[in-house]
Amino acid sequence: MAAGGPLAEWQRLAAGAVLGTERLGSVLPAVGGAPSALLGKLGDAEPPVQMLRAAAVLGMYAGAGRRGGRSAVADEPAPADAEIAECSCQAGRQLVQILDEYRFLLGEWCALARGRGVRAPDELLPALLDAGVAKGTEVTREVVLAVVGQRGRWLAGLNPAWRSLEAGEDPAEVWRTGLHAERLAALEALRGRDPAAGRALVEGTWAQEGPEERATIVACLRIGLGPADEVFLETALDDKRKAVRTAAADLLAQLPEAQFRVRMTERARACLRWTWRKNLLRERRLELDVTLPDAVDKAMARDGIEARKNQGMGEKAYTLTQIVAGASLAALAEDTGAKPEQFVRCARDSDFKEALLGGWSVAAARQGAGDWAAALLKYALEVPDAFEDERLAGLAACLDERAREAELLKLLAHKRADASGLTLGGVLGALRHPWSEAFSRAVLKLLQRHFGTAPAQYDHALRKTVAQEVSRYMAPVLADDAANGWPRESANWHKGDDEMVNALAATLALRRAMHKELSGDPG
Amino acid sequence: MSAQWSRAQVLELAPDAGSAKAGQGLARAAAWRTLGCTDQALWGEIQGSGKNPYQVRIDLSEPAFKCSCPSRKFPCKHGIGLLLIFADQPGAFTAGGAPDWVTDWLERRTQRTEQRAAKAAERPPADPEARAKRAAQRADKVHRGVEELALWLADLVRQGLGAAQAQPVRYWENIAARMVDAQAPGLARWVRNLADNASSGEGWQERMLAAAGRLHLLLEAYARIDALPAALQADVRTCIGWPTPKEELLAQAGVTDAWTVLGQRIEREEKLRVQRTWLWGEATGREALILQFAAGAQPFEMAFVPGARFEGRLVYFPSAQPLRAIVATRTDAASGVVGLRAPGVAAARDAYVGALAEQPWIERWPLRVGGVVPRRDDAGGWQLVDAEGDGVALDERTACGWQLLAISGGAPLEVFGEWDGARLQPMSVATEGRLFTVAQTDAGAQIARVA
Repeated sequence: MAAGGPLAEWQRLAAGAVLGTERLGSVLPAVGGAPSALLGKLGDAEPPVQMLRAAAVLGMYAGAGRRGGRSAVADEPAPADAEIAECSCQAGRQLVQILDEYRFLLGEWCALARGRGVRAPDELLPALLDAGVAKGTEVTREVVLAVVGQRGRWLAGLNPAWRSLEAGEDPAEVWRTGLHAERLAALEALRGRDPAAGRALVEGTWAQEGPEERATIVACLRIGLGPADEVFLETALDDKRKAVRTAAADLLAQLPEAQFRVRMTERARACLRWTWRKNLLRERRLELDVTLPDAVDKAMARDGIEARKNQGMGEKAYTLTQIVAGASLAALAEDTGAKPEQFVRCARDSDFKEALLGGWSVAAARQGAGDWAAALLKYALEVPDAFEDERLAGLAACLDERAREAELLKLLAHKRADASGLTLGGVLGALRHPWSEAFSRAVLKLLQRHFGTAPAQYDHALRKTVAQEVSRYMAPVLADDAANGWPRESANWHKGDDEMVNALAATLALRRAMHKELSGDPG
Repeated sequence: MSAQWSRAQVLELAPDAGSAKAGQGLARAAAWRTLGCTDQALWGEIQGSGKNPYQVRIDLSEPAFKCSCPSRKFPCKHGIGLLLIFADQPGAFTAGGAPDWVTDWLERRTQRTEQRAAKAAERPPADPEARAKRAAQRADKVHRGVEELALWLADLVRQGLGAAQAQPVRYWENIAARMVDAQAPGLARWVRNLADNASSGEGWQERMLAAAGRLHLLLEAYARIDALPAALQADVRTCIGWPTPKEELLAQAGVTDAWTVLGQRIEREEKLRVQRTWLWGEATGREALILQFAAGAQPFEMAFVPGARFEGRLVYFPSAQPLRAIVATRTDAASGVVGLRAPGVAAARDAYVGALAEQPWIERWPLRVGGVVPRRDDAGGWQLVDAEGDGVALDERTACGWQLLAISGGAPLEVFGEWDGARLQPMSVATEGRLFTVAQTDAGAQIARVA
C-alpha cells in the first residue's frame, strides 16, 4: 500500500486517538481509494463521533485486507520414509499415554518400536524430539533417533532446539563453555564412544578445574575405564583434595594390571599370612595369621587409605579393610591355591572377620569376581546382616543374570524370614534390568507375603520401589497376577497400599499391551 | 461418531483438571470388575468406597454419562476412566450382552427425549399481550443504555485512548455493570473487550480504536435499527444482548446434513463456562457454531466430541451471516473419513471479508484454508502459506506450529480454525486421508489423530 494510503491514514488516526480529540481537534483522514466513498459520508457530527465513524470504516478496511506469509521461509519437504512404517494406532495411543504420565517407560517403548522396525506417529514427533534432547531423561538420543524416521530427522534439522539430536553436541564446545552438570554429561557421553578423547578433554583443563569439580570429573572416567587411564589417575592420587584421591583410587582399584593393585596386594601380603595345616583328622585347613598394618603413612594416604575408625572397626582394622578392598583376589588364590569359600570360612573364625569380609565384598565388585561374589552371597544367607544393601547389589552384579536372580531369591526369601536389617526395597531397587518371568513371580509372591506379615513400621521406601521400580522391571505377563492376591484384609495393610498396587498393575498392564502390540509377543 | 476415541478427546470432557487426573488413575482394565460395550454404549463396574460396586454407563451417541457414585462432578471420574480405557485399549471390552441396568437406562433416555419433544410441541403460546409489554419495557431500558454508552464512548475518544488506558478496572466495570442493568449484557461484553484491548501490548492503539469504531457502529446501527434489513436487525439485537427464544428457532425448517465436529473451546466467563463447538456440514459445506453455557462443574446440555460426526438438523439463529445454531435433532453417528474441501488463502480470506461486509460484528470466523504448509516467519511466529505465497498467521498462544509441520512434512494441509481477523487458532487438520484435532490443554496444544 502506498504511503498516505488508507493504511497509513489508519495508523495516523490511531495515533491521534491516543491523544484524544480534545487536544487535537478534528483529525479526519483524507484518503482516496476504496474507503473514500464511505469516509465522504461521515456527515456532520462532533469531532469524537466523527473519529469513531472513521475508525469503524478504516479499522475494518485495514483488518480485512491483512495478508500474511510474506516473510515466511519455505523448507525443503521431508524425505519419504520408505524403510520404516508408522506404528499402529494402538501403539501410537500407548505412546501418547507414556508421554502423558508414564515417561519412565519411554525407553522401553522406543526399544520395542525399534525392534519392530516402526516409527512414532507424525503428530507425536515433536514431543519425542523434546524428550530426546531434554537433560536428565532416561532416553538417549540414539534410542529416540531410531524411532522418529526420516520425517523426525528432517524436523529435528529445522529446529535449533532439536539439532543436537542428530549431530550430538560438540563435546569440546560443551566442555569449554557448559555448566558443570552439562560438562559431566558431555564427558560421560564422549567416554562411552571414545575414552581416549574423553581423557584428553580432562587432561587439557585439569589444572584449571576447581577443587569441588575435580572429584566429580574423575568419577566420570568410570565410563570406558581402561589401562590407558592409569597414568592420569596416578597423577590424580597426588591431588590435595581427599575426595579426588578417593575417587581416583576407586577407579585404579578396578584396573587389573595397575601399579595401584600391585601396591595394595603387597600391603595385604604383609598383613595376612595364609598357611595350610592338617588337623587331627589329617584334613588340610587354611589358617590365617593377621599382622595389623602400621599407621597410615604418606604412600598409603596417597592411595586413598583413610586413618579413622569406621563401622564398628578400630582404626587399624579399618585400614586393613581398605587394603584388602584394593588387593588382587586372583593373587590371593595364586599365593595359596585356596578357593573363595575356603577364605570366607577361614575369615569368619578370625578376630578380623568384619575387616576381611567387608574388604573382599568391595574387592569382588571392583574386580568383577563372580566366584568370590557367590561365596560372599552364600555367607550373607547365613549371616543376614553381614553386608549392606548396596554391597549385596554390587556382589549380585558380578553374577550372570540367571545366577544373580537365583542367589537374590534365596537371599530375599531368607531375609524376610529373619526380618534382618536389610531392606527388601533396597535390594529390589538395585536390580535395574528386565526380570525373568520366574524371578518376577517369586518376587511378587514374596512381596504379597511381606505386606501381610511385615512389622507395623511403615516402610515408605519399599512402597515407592514397588510402584516405580518393580513395576518397570517385573515381567509384564504378570499384569493380572499383580492386581490380585494382596493381603488387603491384613492389619498391616495401609490405606495407600491400594494405590501402590494400582500403580504396579497399571504400569504392568501398559507394558504388557506395549509388548503385545510391538513385539507380537502375546504375553 | 467415529468409534475411535483419543485420550485428548476424552480428557476434554472432564469438568476440571482434578477429574481428568482421577479419571486417568482409573483408566486400567484391571481395576474394573466388568467392562462391556455395544455399538451404542459402554458400561463397567468398579469397586469404590461403598459396599456395592459403582455402575458406570456411557451412551456413545453423544456421549452421555451415568454413574451410581455419589460424585456431583459430571461426568465423574469413573466415566472419564471408563472412556479412557475405551480409547487406550478398546479390546478390553466384552462386546454385547448389555445388562438390565444399562438397557433400562438407555430406554429411559430415549423415552425422555421423545417426551421432551412432545412437550415442546404441546406448550401453549405465552400470553401475547404480556409478552409485548415486557418487550416494550426492555426496549426502553436498552434504548437508554445505548444512549448512555454512546456518550461514554465519545467521551473516551475526546479524552484520548492514552488516558483511558491509565484508568483503573473500576472505570470499565462501572459502565459494564450499567449495561447489564440496562438489560444489554452484550454491550457489557463489548466494553470489557475494549478494556482488554487497552492492555494488549504492542499495537494496542489500533486494536483498541478498531474495537471502539465497531462498537460505535453497533450503537449507531441500533439507533436506526428500523431502517436495516431484517437479518441485520437480528444481528444488532443479538450483539446488544437480546435473547432469541429457542421455541421460535425450533419452529424453523433448519438444515439437515452430516455434521462433523471440527473444533471445540471452553472458556470461563466469571462463574460460567462457555463452550464453542464448530460443526461443518458435509453436503452443504456450511459451518455452524453451537454455544453452550454451564455453571461451575455442571455438564453442558449436549456433548460434542471433536472429530466425531453425526446426522442431524440444525437451526440457525437469524443473522445476515448465519453461524450460530442449535441442534434440533440428532441421530446416530455416521462414519467416514473427511477432507475439508478447503479453498486457498485468498479465497478463504475473500469469504471472510465478504461476510464482514454483510455483518461487521463477526468476532470469530470459521476459516477453512487448504493447500497450506506451515512455515516460520521472521518474527519467530508461524504462518500457513499456500502455493501462491499467500498466508495466514497462527495465533502464537496456540503454539502448535511444530506439530503441524510434523504432520505436513512439507506437504499441503487443510486447516480449520477460528479466525479473529488477524490470527488463526487451529482446531482441525486434514491431510492425506487423516483427520487430526487440536486440543488446548494446560500443557499446551495437543494434536491427536481421530480418523
